[in-house]
Amino acid sequence: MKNKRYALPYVIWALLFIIGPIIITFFYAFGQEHFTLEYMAKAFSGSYFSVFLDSILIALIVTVICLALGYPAAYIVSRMQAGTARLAIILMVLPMWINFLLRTYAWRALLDDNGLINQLLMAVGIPAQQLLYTQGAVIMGLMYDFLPFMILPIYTALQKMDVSLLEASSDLGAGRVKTFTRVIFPLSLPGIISGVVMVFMPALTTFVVTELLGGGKYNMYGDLITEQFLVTSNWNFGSALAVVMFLLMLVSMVVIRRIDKDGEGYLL
Amino acid sequence: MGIIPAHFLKPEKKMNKINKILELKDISKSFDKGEVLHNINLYVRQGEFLTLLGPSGCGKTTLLRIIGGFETPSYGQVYFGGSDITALPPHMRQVNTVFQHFALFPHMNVYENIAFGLHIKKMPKDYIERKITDILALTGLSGFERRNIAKLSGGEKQRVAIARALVCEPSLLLLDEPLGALDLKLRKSMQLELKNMHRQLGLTFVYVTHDQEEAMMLSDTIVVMKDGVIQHIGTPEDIYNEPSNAFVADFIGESNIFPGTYLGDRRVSFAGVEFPCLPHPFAAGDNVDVVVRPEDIELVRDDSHVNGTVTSSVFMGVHYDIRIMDDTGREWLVQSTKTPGEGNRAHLFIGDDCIHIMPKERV
Repeated sequence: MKNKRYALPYVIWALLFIIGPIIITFFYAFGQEHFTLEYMAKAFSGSYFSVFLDSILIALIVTVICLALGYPAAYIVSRMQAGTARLAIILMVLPMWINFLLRTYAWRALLDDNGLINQLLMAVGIPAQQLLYTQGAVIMGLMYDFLPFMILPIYTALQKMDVSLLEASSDLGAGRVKTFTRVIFPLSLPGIISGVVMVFMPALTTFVVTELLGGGKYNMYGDLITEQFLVTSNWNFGSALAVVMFLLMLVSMVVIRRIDKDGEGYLL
Repeated sequence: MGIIPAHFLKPEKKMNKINKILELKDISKSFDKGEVLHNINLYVRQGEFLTLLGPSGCGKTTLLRIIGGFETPSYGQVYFGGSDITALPPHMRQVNTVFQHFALFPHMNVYENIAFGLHIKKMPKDYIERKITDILALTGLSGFERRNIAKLSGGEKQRVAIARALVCEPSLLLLDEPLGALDLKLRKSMQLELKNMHRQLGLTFVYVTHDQEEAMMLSDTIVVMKDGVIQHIGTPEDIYNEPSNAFVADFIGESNIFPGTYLGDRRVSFAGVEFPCLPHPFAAGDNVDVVVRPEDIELVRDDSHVNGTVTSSVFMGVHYDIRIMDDTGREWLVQSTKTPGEGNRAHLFIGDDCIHIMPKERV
């Protein structure tokens, strides 16, 4: 194929900025000059590994909340008339056009001890609550950041579903609930998988949000890696942590491919 | 067509005229765009093959969707076995549909698609197993159980769609242009299969098509529709031989249609000539439409009612399609086993019983 030459810029790009850095990361993780498992062993040891597990837990919670909120939202929008649906989608996506740091700072202002939420609480006679610098604030912030990434792929899956399939289900005796569980939900699975991946992965590797909303008390794995490079300058250990994350992503990809047999998942 | 298992056979259908399985009363339906069905009154007899026939946009599919429960009529009632089901949702109706574009579930294989309705009804496993084996044999799909829907051909998808609906043993089967997506040859053989299935299962079919030949071949009763209004209800012979108006005549088969005037006393004038005809209940001087079937015109040797020149003559297998321009400039289509040949004179004789006079359509 002659067209192959048009792919060349991308190949160079991929080699320089994707494959290259991965090789360098592995190189550092296993000790630059002499091969060692020291850093990898440390990454899997005690407190570091528990941050890893905590991060997975928080990312899971965020993903589950996003799914619980996002699926009904996507479903409702997919049943709207085309014009209204477009408007609803724009409204949902709008916050994504604003830098996430700004959005996170806005949440700080809302959750602050003297923030809008606490002022409202006090106005109705409830004493001010500690909202900022809690795990709830971190989960809330992450959920807010990633919700559109859950809604969009599910909406796409639901929206392209042929209405006649729902009619066929009803025709064959299935009521609303059975039509949902046997037809709508299974057919939207590729959208759900895409959404889960697009929320879970970035949530797992976030940093900064935890710092701003969690006050550094609730470290995620991303924070841990950042710390190794920017604070303690331990590039070897930072790389080892990054390798662990890389392996987790590989495993996730394999699992997803298994579930999504037809390869219908979007954006993957 | 497979062998029909014994327990699929139903007792001989009774052509009992009173046994109306479905009745539509004063059905009207309007969408934002306007009225698509106007005052439809229709009944379907038990065991009948009834076809809703008409050009696209005539409301036939909307009418079928009202019977299936996918649309609610703006006015009027739907009675099923004597009880009013107008407000009943589709899943509560004893009716199954074969959809126009099959509407097979892409996340299920052939077996799961066909078993869907039985699973919903929570039928016992061995019953489902047996039912599906039988229906697969009936529809010629044996061995296709585990096939992926996406990998089926159009004809195979059609069979699965029919099997999926039939396996639920509906009292009434609705078919929405089920053969529309198939090529001509497959269409012809599927028509025969459908006809056989209908005969052997003794079910009631309501069939939607725009193909008049298909309607003629399959139906016990044809309902011709135009612009949301029923034009004619009758047997295929009825509709062909005694069309109720020029639209029906034109839609069913080929016709020579002329505006004319009923002169009274068994005489009618059209195409610039006065013809003797059969008695009609029109008043003298009424404007009418006159339909003459091309095969009813006789070509004779000498000057006759209509004389003209053959403009084209095409051999169609059994007969010739002969187009004739008469001396007043009107065009006629004649079907005959003999042809005078292009450019030659032709003399057309039309018997009084071959002149169909119908009320003029109001435009």
